[in-house]
Amino acid sequence: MNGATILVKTIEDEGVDTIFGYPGGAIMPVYDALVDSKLKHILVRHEQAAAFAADAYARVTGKVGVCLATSGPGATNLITGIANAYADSIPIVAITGQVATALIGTDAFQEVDIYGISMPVVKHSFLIRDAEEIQQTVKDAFEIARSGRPGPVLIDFPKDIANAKVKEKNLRPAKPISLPCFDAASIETAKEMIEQSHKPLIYAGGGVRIAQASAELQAFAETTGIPAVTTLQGLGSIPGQHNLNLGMLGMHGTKAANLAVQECDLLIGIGVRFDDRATGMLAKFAPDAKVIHMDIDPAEVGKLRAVQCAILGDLKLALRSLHVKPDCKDWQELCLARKEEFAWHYDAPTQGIYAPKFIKTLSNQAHKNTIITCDVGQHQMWVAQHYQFKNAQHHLTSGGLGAMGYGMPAAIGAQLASPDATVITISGDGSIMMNIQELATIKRYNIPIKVVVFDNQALGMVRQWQELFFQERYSEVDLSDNPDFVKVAQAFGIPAFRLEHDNNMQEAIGKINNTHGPLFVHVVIDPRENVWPLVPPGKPNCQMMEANAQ
Amino acid sequence: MRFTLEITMKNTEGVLERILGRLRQRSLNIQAINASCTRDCSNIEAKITVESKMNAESIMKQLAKLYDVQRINVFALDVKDESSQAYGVSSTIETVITKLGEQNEVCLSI
Repeated sequence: MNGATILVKTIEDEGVDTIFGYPGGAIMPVYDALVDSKLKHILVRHEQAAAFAADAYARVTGKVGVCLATSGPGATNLITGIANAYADSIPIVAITGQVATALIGTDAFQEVDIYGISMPVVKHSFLIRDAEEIQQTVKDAFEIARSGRPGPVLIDFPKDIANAKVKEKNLRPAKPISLPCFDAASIETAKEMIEQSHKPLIYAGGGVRIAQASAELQAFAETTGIPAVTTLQGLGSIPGQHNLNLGMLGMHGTKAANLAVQECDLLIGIGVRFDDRATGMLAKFAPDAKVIHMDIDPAEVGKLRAVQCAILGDLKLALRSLHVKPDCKDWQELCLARKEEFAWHYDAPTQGIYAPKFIKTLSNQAHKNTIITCDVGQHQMWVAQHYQFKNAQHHLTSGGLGAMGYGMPAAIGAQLASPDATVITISGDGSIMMNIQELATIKRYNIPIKVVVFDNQALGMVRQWQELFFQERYSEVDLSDNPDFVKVAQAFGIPAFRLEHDNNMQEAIGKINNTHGPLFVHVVIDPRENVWPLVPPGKPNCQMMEANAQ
Repeated sequence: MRFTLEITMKNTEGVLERILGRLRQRSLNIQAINASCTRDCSNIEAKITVESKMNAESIMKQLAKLYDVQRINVFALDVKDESSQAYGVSSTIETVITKLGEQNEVCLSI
C-alpha cells in the first residue's frame, strides 16, 4: 500500500462519504487512490468552491468536511474557503498536495509554503514528512477539527510521502483534546443573576447550532420566559416564528431586537463572540446589562466585553441546568409589543419584484426541509431579515469572513449532504459571478439546486454605503453590463427563466419549490432598493437609520 | 502593559511561527525573546516579553488555543514595586494555564 492509499482509507474510516476537490500534479497519487475508493469525489471547477462545499457539508451534517487540492495555486485557491471555515468555526480538513520533500524549499514548480500561508486561518496544520505518520496525522486532524470550538485543519502532503510504501497500522485513538467544563458554582451564580434580573435577554449565536443545542435553547427560553435575539449565525437556533424570538440584532437587525439589547439588565450570551456587526459600538452595547457568557472557547470570554459570569463548556448541558423563573413579565410584554409594533411590512413599492416580499413568500411556502444558502451583500441581509428559519442547520451563510461566492458551492455541499432537502441558493448579481463556474458542477452531477439571483445591476451593499456614507460618490459599483444570466445558465445546460413582475412572483416560487432538478431564476429588482434598518458603522445599536428617514 | 510569557510547546515544525503570528495578529509588540529545546528536543521552552494593550488573561487564552502549546505562565512586569521589575521576575503572577491532554481538562487559575 502506498501513502496516498493509506490517506484515503483513513478518511473513509472517519465516516466521510463525500469529498470535494480538484486534481493536479502533486496530488495525483491521491487521485489515483481515489479510483479504488468508496469515497464519492465531487469535481468542482475552482478549488475555492471545494472548500466552501466542504464547509457546507459540515454545517449540514455536523461531520467534518473534506476538500482536496494540489500544491501551489490549488492550495492557495483553498485559502478563502479555509478562512471562511475558521471565521465561522466550521470543522473541515483541507488536504493539499505538496512537492516532494527533497524539493521543499527549492522554489520548485507549483511549490508554495501553504503550511506557512495558512497558519493564521487554521485551527492547526500538519506537514507530513514521514509516511509512517499519515494515519495518525489524519486521525488527529479530524479530532482537532471537530473538537471543542471546531475549525479547519490543513494537511500538507508531499508527493514522495504519497508514493512511499507503507503498512497499515493499528492506531492509538486520537489524542484527547483539552475541553473546558463548567463547575456547579458558575451555574449557581448564573441562576441567581437570572432570578434577580427584571429585563433579561437571550443573545444566541452560531455556537448553539454547532453544539446542536437548539432544543435546549428553546426549552430554556420557554421555561424562563426570557425573550431572545439571535446573531446572523444564530438564526433558526430558536425558530424564526417563535413567540419569544425578537429576531436578529445588530447592523441590520430588527428594531425590537436592538432596543431590547440596549435596555436589558441581563444579557445571556450563548455561543456568541460579540462580533462588531452584532454589537455596533461596543462601549454602548447593552450598556445597563450584566453579562452571562456561555461558550466552549475560553478565549472568547472577556475578549470584548467584561462578563460577570462565564459558563465554559457544552451548551446543551449548561442550558439544561439553568431553568429558573425570573420576574420579567412586564419586560417580556414590552418586548413582544415592540415586536408587533415594528413588524416588517411588505407593501411592494413597485410593480417589479420587491426582494423582501419575495423572500417572505418563499419562506412561507417552502417545504419543511428547505436549506437556504447565501452569498454576501444586500440579498444576504434580506434573507436574514425576512426568511423565518425553523432550524439553524437550514441557513448557510458566510458570516465572519463575509465571502462573496460562498452561496452556490455551499448549496452543492449542502445538497450532497442532504439529498432529500430542497436547497435554494439566494445570491446577487455581484456575488454569483464569483463562483459562476460551479454551474458546471451542478450540471455534471445533476444536483437539483435552485439558484435565485437578485439582480440590481450593482454591488448593492457597497452602493448603499456610498449613497449613505460617501455622499453618493459612486465608485466601481455599477454592474449594468452584467451578462444575460438566463443565457449563461442555459449555456451550462441548466433550465433558467427571468422574473421581473410582481404578478409573476407566485408562479416563479411555485416552480422553485416544485421543479425536480436544477433551476436558475434571474430576478430583476430595483437598483435603488436598500437594506433597512441600518446601524451605521461604529454607532450604537439604538441609532438605527430607517427607510422613511431618507 | 508589559508581560513576560513563559510558554512550553511541542517541538513541531514552525511552532514558534505560530506563537509569533498569533502575537502579531493581536498587535502585541515583542520586546525580548529567548527560546530553546528541552534536553530530549521534544519541547521548546520560550520566554517572550511583550508590550500589549490586551490583558494578560486574554493573551494567555489566545495562545492556549494553539494545539502545540502545553503550558503558559504570564507575569506582569509593570508593577509599582521596582525591585520586581527585573526581567522574568515579578511579584504579581497574573495567570497560569496548563493543558492536561490526558485528563481532558483545562485548569485556569487566576
